[in-house]
Amino acid sequence: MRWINIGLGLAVTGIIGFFVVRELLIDPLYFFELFLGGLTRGSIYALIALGYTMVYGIIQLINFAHGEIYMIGAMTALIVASVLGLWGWNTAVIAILAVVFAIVYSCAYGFTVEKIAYKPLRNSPRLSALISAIGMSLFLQNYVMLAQTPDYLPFKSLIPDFHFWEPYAHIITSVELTIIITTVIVMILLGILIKFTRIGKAMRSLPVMWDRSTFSSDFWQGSKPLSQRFWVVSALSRAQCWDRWYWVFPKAILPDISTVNMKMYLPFPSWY
Amino acid sequence: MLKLTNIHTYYGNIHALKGIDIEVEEGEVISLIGSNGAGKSTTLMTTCGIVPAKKGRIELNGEDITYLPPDEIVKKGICQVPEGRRIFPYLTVAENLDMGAFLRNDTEKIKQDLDYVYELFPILANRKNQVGGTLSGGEQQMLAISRALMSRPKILLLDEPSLGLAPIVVKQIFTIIGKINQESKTTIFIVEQNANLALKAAHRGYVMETGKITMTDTGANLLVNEDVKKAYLGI
Ligand SMILES: Nc1ncnc2c1ncn2[C@@H]1O[C@H](COP(=O)(O)OP(=O)(O)O)[C@@H](O)[C@H]1O
Ligand SMILES: [Mg+2]
Repeated sequence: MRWINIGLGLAVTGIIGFFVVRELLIDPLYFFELFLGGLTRGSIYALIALGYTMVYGIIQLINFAHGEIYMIGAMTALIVASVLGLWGWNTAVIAILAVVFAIVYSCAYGFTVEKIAYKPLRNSPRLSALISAIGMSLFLQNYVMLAQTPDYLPFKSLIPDFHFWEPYAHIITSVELTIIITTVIVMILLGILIKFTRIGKAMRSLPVMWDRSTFSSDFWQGSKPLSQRFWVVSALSRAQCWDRWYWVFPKAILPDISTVNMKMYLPFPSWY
Repeated sequence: MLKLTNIHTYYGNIHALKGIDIEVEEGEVISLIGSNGAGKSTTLMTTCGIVPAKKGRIELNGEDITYLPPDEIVKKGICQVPEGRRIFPYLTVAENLDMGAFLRNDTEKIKQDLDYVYELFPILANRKNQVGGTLSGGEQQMLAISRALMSRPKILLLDEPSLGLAPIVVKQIFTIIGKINQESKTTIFIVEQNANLALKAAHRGYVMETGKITMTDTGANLLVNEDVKKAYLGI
C-alpha cells in the first residue's frame, strides 16, 4: 500500500513537473507570468487561511461563515465603489474608501456573528457550535443573495496601472504587485500582533481556557479577547478586497473559497 | 476582609456547598482542609464568581461581590491559583506573567511586581523565555503563583499548591507563600488536602466535609485536635 502511494505520488509529481519544466523551457516569460499569478492568488488564499486557523486555534471551531465574511467585505467594497464611481470620485480615493468600508463592515459582521452564533454556545458540545456556524454561513449567503443579487457582478479594477511599473507590467501587473505587497505587509503586521502585543499573547493563551474539564480560569476576563480576535480575523480577511479578479458572485464563489481554504488550512503551520 | 455568609452552590442539581460561612481577616493566612470532593475547590470557584452562588452573600471589605463576573472580582483584588496550576503551556514564562497583569495598565508598577516575582522565584528569571508547558511541576506551580501575584491581589486564593509535587518542593513553596504574606501583606487563603502542612502555615483553619464547614479554630489548635488528627493527619 505504502509503495503504491509513493509510486502514485511520484508519478503525479513527475507528470506535473514535466509540464512545468517544459513550459519553463518553451517560454520562460509565460511561465513566470503564470507563476506570479499563482503567487498572487495564493497570497489571498493564505490570508483567508490565516483567519481560519486563528479562529480554530482558539475555540476549536471550524468557522464556516469565514468565507461569507469575506464575501460581505467584497460586497461592501463593490457597493461603495459603485456609488462613489457614479458620483465621479477619484479612483484612488474610491479604492481607499472601499477598503476602509469593507474592513469596518466585515469586522462588524464578524463581531456580530460571534456574539449571536458562537458565544452563547461556548460551553456546549462542539457539534452545536459547528452546526451554528453552518447556519450562519447559509444565512449570510442567502441574505446577500436576497438583498443584492444571486447573479455575477463585475468589479471594476480600482488600482491604476502604475507608471513606474510599466517596464515590468507584462510580467506582473500593478494589481498583482499591490496584492503581493499588501499580503506581505499584512502578514508581518499580524505576526507582530500575535507575537508581541498583549492581545496577541491573550489569543495564544486562550486554547487552554477551553479545556472543558473545568471552567475558565478566574483570572481570565470573560471572553473579551476572543471577540477581539474575531474582530482582527475579519479585518484580515478583508484586507485585500479590491482584488480585480473577484467578480463578486455570492452564488459561486463561496463553495470555491471554502474548498480552497479547507485544503490550505490542513497543512498550514499553526502560529504557536 | 473577605466574608462568605451562608453560601449555597449547585452544579446542576448537585448541591456542592450547603451553607458555608467563612471569614478572612486582612493579613491572615487561612487554610481550608477537607477530603476529596468536600467542596474546597467549589468554595474558591464561587468566591471568584466562576460558579456563582445560588444563595448567600460574599463581601470584600463590606462590598457585595456575590454576583460580579470573574474579571470584576479579579479587579477588586481577589485572584486564584487554580488547582492543577493551569498555566498557559504555549506561552513563555515572561508572557505568562504578562497575562497575569492583563487587567492592569500601570506599566511602572507592573515592572516592579515583575522584579518582585523574579526575586521570589529566581528560577523563573532564568527560564524567562522557556515555554510554560516544558517547566517542571514545581516550576509551573511557582509560575502559577507568580502569575496570580502579577494581578496584585489583596487576597490570594491557592487551590492545592502541593498537588503532585515532591515534598522538598512543597516545603519551598510554602516557605515562599509565608514570605508573600509577610512581605507584601497579601492575605492568603489556602485550600489543601495536605492538612499537616497547611495548618502549620496558617493562622486559622477551617475543616470541610461534604459541602459544610464542620470545624474552625486556630491552625495550632486544629493540629492537635483529636478528630482532625484521626481524619486528616493519619495519626
Ligand atoms: N463541574 C462540575 N460538575 C458537576 N459536579 C461537580 C463539578 N465540579 C465539582 N463537582 C462536585 O462538587 C463536589 C465538590 O467538588 P470540589 O469542590 O471539586 O471538591 P474538592 O476540591 O474539595 O476536592 C463534588 O461532589 C464534585 O463531584
Ligand atoms: Mg479540589
